Amino acid sequence: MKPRPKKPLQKAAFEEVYDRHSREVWALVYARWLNADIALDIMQETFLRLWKQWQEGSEIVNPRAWVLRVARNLAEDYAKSAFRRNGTQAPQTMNGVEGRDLLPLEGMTRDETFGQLRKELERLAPADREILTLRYALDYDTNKIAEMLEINATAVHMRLSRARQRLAERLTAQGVEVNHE
Amino acid sequence: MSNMLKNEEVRPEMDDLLHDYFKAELPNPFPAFQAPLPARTRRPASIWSRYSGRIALAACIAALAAGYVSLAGFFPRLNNATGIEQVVPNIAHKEKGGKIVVPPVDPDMD
Repeated sequence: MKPRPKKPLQKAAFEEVYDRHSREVWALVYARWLNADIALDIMQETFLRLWKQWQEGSEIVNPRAWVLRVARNLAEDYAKSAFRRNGTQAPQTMNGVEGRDLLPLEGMTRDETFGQLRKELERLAPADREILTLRYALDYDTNKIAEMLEINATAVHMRLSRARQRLAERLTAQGVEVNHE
Repeated sequence: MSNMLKNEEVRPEMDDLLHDYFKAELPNPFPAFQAPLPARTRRPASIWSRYSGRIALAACIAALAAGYVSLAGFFPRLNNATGIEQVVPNIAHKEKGGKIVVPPVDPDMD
């Protein structure tokens, strides 16, 4: 008699991979596009592909590396498709900062600050944005970022420090109070 | 005046700002994985399900024909072909001198 596949076990293992790496994938794509919705879509598509691979019985030795690579490729593919759909303007340039449940004046001030911050983040190198996203969205420390991006911890520290300072200078030059609270 | 800011000066404020910004962007709650439903494979249709409509139609026609034949047996059969009693002479036949003229039979009719 043919043994039945152990689907519950497979699903549990998959969920573990998802819980461990989905935020990293999101952060990676977010750093590329600075758009939370696109990052979420691409993250889910990436894991859906991984799920299909597992269902088909493909052996993936390093799921983390696999999802990061697929997410990067999908993010780049998105650039091409976005260009086709929207011409020369990437869609996120037309997106405002999403409304939050704050008082109107506080919300407006914060949205304005965040909007300017987003513009300045767009001017940074994608690699610096990756480091910032991992540091501030996922609270990764320098060593963990270095491990993930396979670079030196000192380099991470330096780039983080430099990016932070550059942002502060540009925002201050625009009259943004860096201390926004 | 230099536009340069010392890193130590801006760090706490920038830390707070960046932290708030990225935390606001991160989906909260972060979506949990939902495995897609397994694709439903189409089972091969049985002969019955494939031809049930046609079989039902054929059964209806057969029942109708059988009913017609069996009911026909209950009623007496009339002699003439049409089954209508002929009370008037056939107007197609012309009388000539009191004789009924029967139209000539075409030998090729057989």
